[in-house]
Amino acid sequence: MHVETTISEPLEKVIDDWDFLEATVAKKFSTFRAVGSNIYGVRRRAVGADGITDMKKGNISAVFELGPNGPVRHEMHANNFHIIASGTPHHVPHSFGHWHINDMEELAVKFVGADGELGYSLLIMRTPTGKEGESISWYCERCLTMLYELRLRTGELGLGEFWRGERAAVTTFNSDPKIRTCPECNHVNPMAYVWNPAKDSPEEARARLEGYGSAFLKASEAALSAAPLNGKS
Amino acid sequence: MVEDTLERVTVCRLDELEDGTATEVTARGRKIALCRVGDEVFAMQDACPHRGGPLSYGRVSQQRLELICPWHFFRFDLRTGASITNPAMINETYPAVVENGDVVIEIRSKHAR
Repeated sequence: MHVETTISEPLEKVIDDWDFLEATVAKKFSTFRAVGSNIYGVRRRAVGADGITDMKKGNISAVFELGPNGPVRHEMHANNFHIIASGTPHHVPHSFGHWHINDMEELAVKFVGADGELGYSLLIMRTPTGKEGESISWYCERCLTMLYELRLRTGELGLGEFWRGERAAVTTFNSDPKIRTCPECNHVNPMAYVWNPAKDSPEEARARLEGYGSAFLKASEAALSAAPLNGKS
Repeated sequence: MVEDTLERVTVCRLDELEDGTATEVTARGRKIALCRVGDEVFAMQDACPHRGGPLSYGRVSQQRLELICPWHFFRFDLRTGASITNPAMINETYPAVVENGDVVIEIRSKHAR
């Protein structure tokens, strides 16, 4: 039987008493929500030893972070505790089709669910203030030349600025082939998509499957398969 | 009272700079990324405004007149110091000229009088 729980107190007042993974609480954080000095996101996902699967996005186990040696792939799985350092461009193919550059540190934790149930993907970051913010950006998937960036003033304008800006950035990137064309190698990069699959246009839904980010996945998989196992050839 | 002064500092010879690359020099206590493009030299603060990456280790695009940070690949216009993708992010630049084979840069400083 369906039971709806209503909590009348402000979140800030009762947050310390809450079990974030309790179903009715988790639901309130299904996108992102600022409470006190932090922003929380809690999602129900299939979390296992072999990776993370979102019912709408598919396999979202691979997290790419961009640094001096190019994209580095991290594999997310059950009981992962992963920190993305502030300022590090990061991208999760099939989940969000761009590189997110956050002035805040992001902490991601994955929990397995109870027997047969979905697990939890928890993300925590400090709420940006003042000039702090984030960027939605793209790099050429072939040569890593930075193609486009939209800086978002989330510290001044709040979390809503992220969703507005992410949508605007993806629309701009997808609608202008000139922006997607690399000035260095002339590669035309594929289309992108926002974090929320419910907002996908038909083109973006296709891009989520095989658009921006697929090349990073393929390249990293090719590198993995070419590497000798356990140091033996 | 604060006085604004403009100093001209010779930092190296042009032929010490490899064409199409960036080189780190220090002048009046400042770390500067010096970029040679043909017979022209551009000077920019040697710290990326994004996260402080050492721009003198970055790549120079001679065709587009850009210096690219080696950490997160932010691109900067050698002439203005502005980020190509976010013009609000501007790195400090210094006027640079070549005189009789010497590379001379101009540094503006403030001194208490």
